[in-house]
Amino acid sequence: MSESSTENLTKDGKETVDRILHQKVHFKLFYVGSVVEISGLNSTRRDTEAQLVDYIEEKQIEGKLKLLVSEDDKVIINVSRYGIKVLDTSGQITSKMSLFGGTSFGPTSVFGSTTTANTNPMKDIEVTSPPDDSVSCVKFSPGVLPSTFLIASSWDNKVSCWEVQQSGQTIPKAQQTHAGPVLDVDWSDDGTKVFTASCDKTAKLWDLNSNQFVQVAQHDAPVKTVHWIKAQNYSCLMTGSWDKTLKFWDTRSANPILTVSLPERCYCADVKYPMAVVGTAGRGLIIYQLENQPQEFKRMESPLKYQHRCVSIFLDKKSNAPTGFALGSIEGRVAIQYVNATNPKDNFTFKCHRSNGTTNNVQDIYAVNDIAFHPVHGTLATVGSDGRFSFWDKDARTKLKTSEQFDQPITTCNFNAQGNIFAYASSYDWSKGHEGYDPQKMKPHIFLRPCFDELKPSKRT
Amino acid sequence: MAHRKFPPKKDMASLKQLKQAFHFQDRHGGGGDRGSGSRHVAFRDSFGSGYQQGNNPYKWASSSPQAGSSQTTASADDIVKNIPKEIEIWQTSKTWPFSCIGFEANLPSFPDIPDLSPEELRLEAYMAIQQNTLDQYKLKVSQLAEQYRQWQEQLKVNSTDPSLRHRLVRAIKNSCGQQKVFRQSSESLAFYSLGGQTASTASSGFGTGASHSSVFGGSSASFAQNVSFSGFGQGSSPSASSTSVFGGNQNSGGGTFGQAGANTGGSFFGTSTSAVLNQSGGNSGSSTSFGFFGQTSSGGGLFGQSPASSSSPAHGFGAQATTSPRTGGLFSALPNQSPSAQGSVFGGASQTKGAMFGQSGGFTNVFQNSSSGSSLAAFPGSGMPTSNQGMLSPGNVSFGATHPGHDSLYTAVDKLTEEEKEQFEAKTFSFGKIPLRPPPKEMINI
Repeated sequence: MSESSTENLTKDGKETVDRILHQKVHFKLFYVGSVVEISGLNSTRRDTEAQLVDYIEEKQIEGKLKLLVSEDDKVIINVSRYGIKVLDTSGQITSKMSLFGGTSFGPTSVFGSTTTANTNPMKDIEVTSPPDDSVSCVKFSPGVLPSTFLIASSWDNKVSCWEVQQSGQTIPKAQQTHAGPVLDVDWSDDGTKVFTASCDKTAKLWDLNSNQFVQVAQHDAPVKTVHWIKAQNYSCLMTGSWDKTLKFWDTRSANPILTVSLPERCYCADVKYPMAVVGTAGRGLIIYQLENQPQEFKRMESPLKYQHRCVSIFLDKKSNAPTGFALGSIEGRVAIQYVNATNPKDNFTFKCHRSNGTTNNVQDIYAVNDIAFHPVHGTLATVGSDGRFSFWDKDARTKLKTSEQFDQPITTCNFNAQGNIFAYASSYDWSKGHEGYDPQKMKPHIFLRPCFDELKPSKRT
Repeated sequence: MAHRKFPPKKDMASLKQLKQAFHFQDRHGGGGDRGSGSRHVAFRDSFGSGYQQGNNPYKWASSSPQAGSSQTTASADDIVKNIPKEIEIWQTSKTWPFSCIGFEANLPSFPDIPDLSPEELRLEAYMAIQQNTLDQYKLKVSQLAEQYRQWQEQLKVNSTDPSLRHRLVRAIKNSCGQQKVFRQSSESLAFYSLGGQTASTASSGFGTGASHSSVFGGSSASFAQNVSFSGFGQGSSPSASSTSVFGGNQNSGGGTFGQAGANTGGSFFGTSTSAVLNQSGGNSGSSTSFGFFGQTSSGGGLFGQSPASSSSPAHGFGAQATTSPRTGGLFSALPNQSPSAQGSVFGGASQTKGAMFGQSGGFTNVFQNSSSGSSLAAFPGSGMPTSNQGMLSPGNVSFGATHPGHDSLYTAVDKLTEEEKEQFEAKTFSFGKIPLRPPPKEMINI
């Protein structure tokens, strides 16, 4: 593999920047390989071939570099100080990309991170009476209801419910309080109940009709995730906790139907019947199948190198059955992972929620706080500590859109059942610890954005 | 670019309204030009396939779980070589510092850097505010930050520390060779006091550590101290000792690798582990995984016998050990063979050797199998096991099935070079001459 002709690059990186930049680097496109070190492309750190390829990919995902060749073709990539040129084997230029300066990279650098903080740079609709402290989770009601409701859980121990009108206006409906911060919420399939997971080690059921709020689950440590499972022959509540267990509850009993030990603290989970995925501390990743009864299906080594943060299951386009998941980490990266990948190449990771710092081209890397899949298009949204949300097409492997930067991290996001509203919350996510926490100045916001068109898949798929 | 008409009709009405209400902006960004007309994005294929064949495969480990099996020495070398850069980027990019880190995608994590999520720290902070102990929280966090920074530095210096480097390579190779090890990371940090139960496991780990103190000489002190160091928010005594332990490895030379560490000026994870434990207040016996790095700290974890020998009162180290494949992380087999490994291990280096550089990886495989196999028994009907045992205890695992036999763990005496034999026979290894092969069975002191 790797028809690279760059073996003349030294391994010790002693090549001068100029020399390397004048180097013609030839890749067989299919396997970009074998350059051991390349320095000075855009940063002194970007000094391995892998990083170069990363960089190219990044630009490609952003739509800056398109390649009009099939994967069976070979191309030659020339890297010079002026940019990257992709030639097909007959020497025709198929693509060009400038490496330096903002000129061909569009306006992003113009509106870089230095712009003054803006609480609503996307000019979306603000949900009225947002929580007083950071929003940990927002979820729209299931599509079975005639009207749309939005639930938010927050660090001020509250769970809040709004009705979302057609106009986009929101009407606060009700609120409940836990004894500790609330970390997660979910809806029952019929939209009559809401389940909440709290640091007070309980999960509760909120019956929206009667407004009763009763405990339905107990853990030995804070409950990080809560999901309602609606199977054909049973329904139950799944709670994941920092006590390293996953528990399944019949909401009428004080004892769990089932307790599953996790290798580590539960950090994130998602359920789309008949599949559940749990991400734990220590990069643990377990897939459960829920048919008949929950059963561990598979454990896998994490495709990401750092702490898991969020996971979201996606459906197969044809069968509409859960087929894989997107996993986000603190290291500004998302992995698209199929449970049974027909081709290992189907699985991939991409970088996101990163920005170039002002000094020495050091990239700031932010956590991916949440991932949501569009219910109609199958495209996805990611939100990050960088205070941006992005829309992606995983099948075309392209970015559809990135938001302007908010004054605060975006902590959570969700699509409504019809897929025409994108809800997201800007609030502090503790990414800078207590030093970054200023409850006086950091007022959480929840925004609603019409999104149906923006999340249409890239044409190329 | 032709427009697709995606919205179903019934959505159109509401969408229109939303558009009006929301000052709807048409989609932009990314550009309409993206990839139009192209059939494939060929670059993408560098994920995965390049991994197996490439001479720079590590970067693309991401996609194919199978790829690990074809990991070569070179790639393990590359991974190790890449560590300093990786860490450097981590440190300079303002990424969340309290994270574990994998050797690579689809490979296990470096032992034994635990995960701490922002939410866990946040909750701790909120509780500290409530209890008016915010200063202690801040102190704790700064200690944690320092601890993680030290870990990162440790990993970074591997290029100047051949011995550590070598061990890292071996560790990675082993784990790669066995494909994946479902890493059971450390017992939890018990950082958040709400989840107080975890604190106990932590101290049990320390207890064990302490029991080996004679082996480790100087480090024992810190272990002992640590035992008292319970969960966060309890006015934990900042153990300055940890730092010193970490910085200057005082291993008394009893341990082979301790010595090596001292020689190379590096220190190592052995002792550092204990430091870690101190500071994270409950990271516990998990130090096991530092077995990777060759030495010390919890001999128990390393050699898997801790359950039996744990001197820690009250706390279920036994349970801990059985529940955590990390015990088996790399060395799970050893309990079978040498239930009392510690003494001999650290006295006579050969055992350590065997464990470390031998087929230790082979046993990770065991866990792998057990965890991926149908035997998982995670849900035996209604009666779920409340401990991990049901799922992962070594008991479920058939060593025989996954590993042809212990013999393959060892090198035959006649296959050793004179120098290697000498080394294995010596009380301690000489730095620079540490054999790469497992020791012969005959030379293991049990």
